[in-house]
Amino acid sequence: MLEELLITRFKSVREQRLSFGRVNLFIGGNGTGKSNLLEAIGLASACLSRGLGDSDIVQKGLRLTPSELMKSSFKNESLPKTLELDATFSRGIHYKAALRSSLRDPLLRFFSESCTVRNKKIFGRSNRGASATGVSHAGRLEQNRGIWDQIKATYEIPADVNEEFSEFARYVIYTPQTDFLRGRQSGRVDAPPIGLHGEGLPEAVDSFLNVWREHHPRSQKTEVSAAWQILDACVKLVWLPGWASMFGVHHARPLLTSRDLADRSSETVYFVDRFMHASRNRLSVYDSSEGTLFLLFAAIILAHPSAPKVFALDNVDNALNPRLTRRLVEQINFVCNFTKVSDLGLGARQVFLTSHNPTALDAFDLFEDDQRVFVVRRNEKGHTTAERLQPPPGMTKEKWELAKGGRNLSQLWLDGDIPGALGDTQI
Amino acid sequence: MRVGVVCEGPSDYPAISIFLADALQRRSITAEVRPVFPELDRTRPEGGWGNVLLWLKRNPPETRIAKYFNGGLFAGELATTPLDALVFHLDADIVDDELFRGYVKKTYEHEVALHNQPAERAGSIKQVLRLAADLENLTQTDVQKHVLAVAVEATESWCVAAFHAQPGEYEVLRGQALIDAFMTVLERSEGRQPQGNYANIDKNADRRRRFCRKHAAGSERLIQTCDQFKEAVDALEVLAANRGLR
Repeated sequence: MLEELLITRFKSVREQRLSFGRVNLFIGGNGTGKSNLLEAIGLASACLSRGLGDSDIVQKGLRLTPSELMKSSFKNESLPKTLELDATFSRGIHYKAALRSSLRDPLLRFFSESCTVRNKKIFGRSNRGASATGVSHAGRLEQNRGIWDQIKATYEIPADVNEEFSEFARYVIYTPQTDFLRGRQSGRVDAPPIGLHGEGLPEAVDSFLNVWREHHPRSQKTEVSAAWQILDACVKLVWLPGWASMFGVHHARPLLTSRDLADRSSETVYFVDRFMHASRNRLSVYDSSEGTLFLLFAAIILAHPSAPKVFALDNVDNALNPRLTRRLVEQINFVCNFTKVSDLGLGARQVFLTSHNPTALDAFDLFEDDQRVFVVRRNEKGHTTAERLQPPPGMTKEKWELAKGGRNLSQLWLDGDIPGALGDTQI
Repeated sequence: MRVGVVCEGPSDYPAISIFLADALQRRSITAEVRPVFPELDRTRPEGGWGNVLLWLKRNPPETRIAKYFNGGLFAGELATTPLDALVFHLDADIVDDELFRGYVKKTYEHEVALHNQPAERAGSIKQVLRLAADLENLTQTDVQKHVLAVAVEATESWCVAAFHAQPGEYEVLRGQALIDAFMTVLERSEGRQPQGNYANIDKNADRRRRFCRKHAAGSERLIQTCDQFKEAVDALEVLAANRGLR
């Protein structure tokens, strides 16, 4: 698990250390840098993944910002040569990368890189050379690709490092978009099970349901597996709006398929509307509610065995009403809490979220260390800062309840009682 | 000295904040005054006693103390700078309001006394504020931080008093007389010829702010003519002295 990240000179983040839990929510005004924080995590992941090329960056869900603009640029401060990402993982694993760019080079390149485990050096490179597991690598490393990805297959890297890095290297930022979910637009699925915006939904739903069926208890007497509990809880997300009673994938009859779909000949996702006549109760994704589609997307990335175990979901409240936003975030907390205690091979393990919907906060127990909320603001110099939202030290739940006047965190947000959460509007 | 203001509405805030800050400055106390009530939604009335009494209900003593006097509800960088005082404003003209009287009776089991004299009318309102703020159950230190500022009959009376060069009996102005007096000084202040026979008071907060800023120095006359204003300033001065803020 990524426990801590020190971000230096990345976009609007001048210097910010973040200590993470399993579920992490960033809130704050528009333009304060919430997405930049998700991208900083993504860039750290790219350093351990296939590299820093355009396609590698895009596949992670980062915006394809010119490399020179990835580095901070603030008034009255000299333009930096590098940006730095300093990550601490569980089990004492530490990874640090300094990336450089110039106007003559469209790509970010490694300036230096190092990995230590419990203070023992595993690999590293700088302008003085490179080495891995004690062997020199001078001149043999690609400059826009991390060392770990280049040597993991051939060198003996400690198993715990490989586990942590493999998991983190798959981090992506999901930003589901209605047109992709509805099938009005088609696009690539760079990594299974589903594209970052919802591309390939039918295939993802099909394989998800297959897994769900595989884990379905054979009879009522059969002991329910932990994997089934996660899968079933996530499937139930889709029922939350109250109108759908079933979903699946089928070849729809052309006359019952919208002419607006990008591909009418392929399989599409359908929902059964429990209020409609039995002969006409299959609604395609095109005609279904946006919120239901979003919940289906969330169910897949949370519980599909092929989904990354560490990911970000930008705007978790997308298309959801306040109550459903809370329920979805509660579900994310449930899954991450479940996978914390047992490795099931499926289920998200660490999630990063942003939200503008106050009720997302109501799904968090701020006294619980695995659940963290960060208020993102700009300081007087315009630097992005992120402060963990915590009750004052020594405060018990009961005392804090009195101090809050019995209000939910969402109400505190709306009442302006969470400094910075409403943004510092200049209007 | 950091002072938060809970008042009936946005148009009352300029008079309270600007005149109080000026009066305190004349006593060598620099006050940073800020509003503490949230932005109201468009459905709610622009002002009124309900804003203050319901705010007090939503912010019981434990909340007020934690939020405003002890650094806020959160730790670290999200802690807020504590206030030295909270000023609670109500207009005295609500003494005659049946809805107000009924609410107070039902909520606090208290009969609002009907009076005619300015000081007594203010006394009736202060009694309601004490009940609403539950001051009886607070320590003396925390009670001192709750400053009651009752405008007799309304903050518009303070504006009229601040405008006029000569002291007068501005606390007895009520109803149409107060509307005319206020609108007249507002128009004069902006260099316009007063029209007379005004239907309503202009509650535009920006216009009120401009007026109060222009006549901030009138706080000196307010001290002489509006006893309740003087009382609030005195209370803040004592608090500042106790906290070594002069």
